Amino acid sequence: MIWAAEWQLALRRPRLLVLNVGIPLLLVLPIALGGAPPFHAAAAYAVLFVLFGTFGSAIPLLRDAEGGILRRLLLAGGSGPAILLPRIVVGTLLDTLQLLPAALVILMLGGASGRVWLLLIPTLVGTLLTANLVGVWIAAVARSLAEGALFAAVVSLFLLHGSGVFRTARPGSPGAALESVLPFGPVHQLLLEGAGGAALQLSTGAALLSSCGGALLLGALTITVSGALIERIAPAR
Amino acid sequence: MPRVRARGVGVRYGGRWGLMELDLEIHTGERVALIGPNGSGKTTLIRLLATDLSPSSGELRILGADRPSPTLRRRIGYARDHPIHFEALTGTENLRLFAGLRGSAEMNGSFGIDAELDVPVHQYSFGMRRKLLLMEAFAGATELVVLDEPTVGLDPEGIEVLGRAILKRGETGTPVVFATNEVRDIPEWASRVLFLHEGRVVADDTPSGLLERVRGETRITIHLQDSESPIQLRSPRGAAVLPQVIEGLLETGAEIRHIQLHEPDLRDVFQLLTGVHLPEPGP
Repeated sequence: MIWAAEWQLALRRPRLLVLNVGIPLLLVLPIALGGAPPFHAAAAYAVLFVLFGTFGSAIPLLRDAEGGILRRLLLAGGSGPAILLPRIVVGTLLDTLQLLPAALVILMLGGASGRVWLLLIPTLVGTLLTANLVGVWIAAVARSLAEGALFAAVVSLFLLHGSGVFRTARPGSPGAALESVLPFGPVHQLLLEGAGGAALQLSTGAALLSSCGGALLLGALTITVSGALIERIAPAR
Repeated sequence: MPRVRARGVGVRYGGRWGLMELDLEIHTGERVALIGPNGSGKTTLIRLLATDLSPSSGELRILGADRPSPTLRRRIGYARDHPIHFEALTGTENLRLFAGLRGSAEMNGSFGIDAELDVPVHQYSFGMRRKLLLMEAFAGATELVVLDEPTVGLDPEGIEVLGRAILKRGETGTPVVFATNEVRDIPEWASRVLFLHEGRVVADDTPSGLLERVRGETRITIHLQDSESPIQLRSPRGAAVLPQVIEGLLETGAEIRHIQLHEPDLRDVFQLLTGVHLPEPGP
């Protein structure tokens, strides 16, 4: 029931769909066409993609909590997984579809290798799934839309920083160890190579494991505690 | 076994008690009306029964369960005072969603909005949203129906359908609890009335049992032509005293502008028991 409603709601907002395709393109095109150094360009792209996922998950959840519709779903007998799983999955798929044109432009203009093209969709899905899941946790902590936006920005930027997007950690350092466990390294490396920068440091398997495996682990944890999360996001007022 | 059992239940909002020392049992098929002014605890009790709130003190069991769960909530049809829907979805899609969560989309009464069910809810008036909400609450085979101010926003046709739906649910054994200050239809709809005042139940009786307390207390208000303050009388014999009263007034030379007769209702009983005048519900 909620799966169908989530798709219907998304398809009935064509203006939003168009904006969500157009705005990333509008942000990506000047960078891709402007000859920005690949390291800086890849950082900008990674920030855009991750914020798209975290904001796109946290803000609608908080908006629906404030509007009362989430509480209504709970009181009508919706369980945590029944409410959150469709939102996360539909949100991730929509985000992927909406960001795909921008990602294709980056890879085409950067002359990406075959391996980058092969890894694009799974890495994008894994990254956006993680970002959507992070958004759910942010919504569970935030108490207003403004707090949600602030937390989404701060948490995303810290995770991006830890994932090595804004710096190059020395091999063997704690920073490098952190990079290997944080979720947004693969998408950054993919975008870096896609933008004409250094070749992917991760093997195909490691990239997939890091982006998709991590997302699935976080997803399993989120769904396991989804009952408590949704009660926090949409408490009795 | 009661469908709802409360023992010493209280609900605290910050430093204020919204409901205190509630002892209550609701049995199969009972139709319970909650009456009281704003802040009396009606909505708090409704939200407790809908598992939207948890008691701050005491013990509450609803349909045998002592804590909220999705399984329990699927057994309760709940319409809160303010209708909330997915605005971009049609009435039918909202019905399917909310009733479907309870495992059934069988409708019980259309509330006269059949023709609008395929229209997105953002095009609905407030009254239509209220009707859709009530349809969702009555849909399927719930084991307890809880309604907060169900008559608000309804037209006469909607109120009639609501009354039939409440009676039908009672007949099938489902307890229905509703909060309202629209007392006119309560003697017909409710099998039991709870008066709430300042967070406490101050009376718990059948409608006829409560009305018995003001039996014969017809209020007569006579407005005179040259006087701003009307004459107020209470008559144990209803309107039968009027000819005598009118004759007496005319003999004194008074000119009668108009006469109002007010048969006693539950509002008068509430005033008698609490000293508080229960305001007429808004349109």
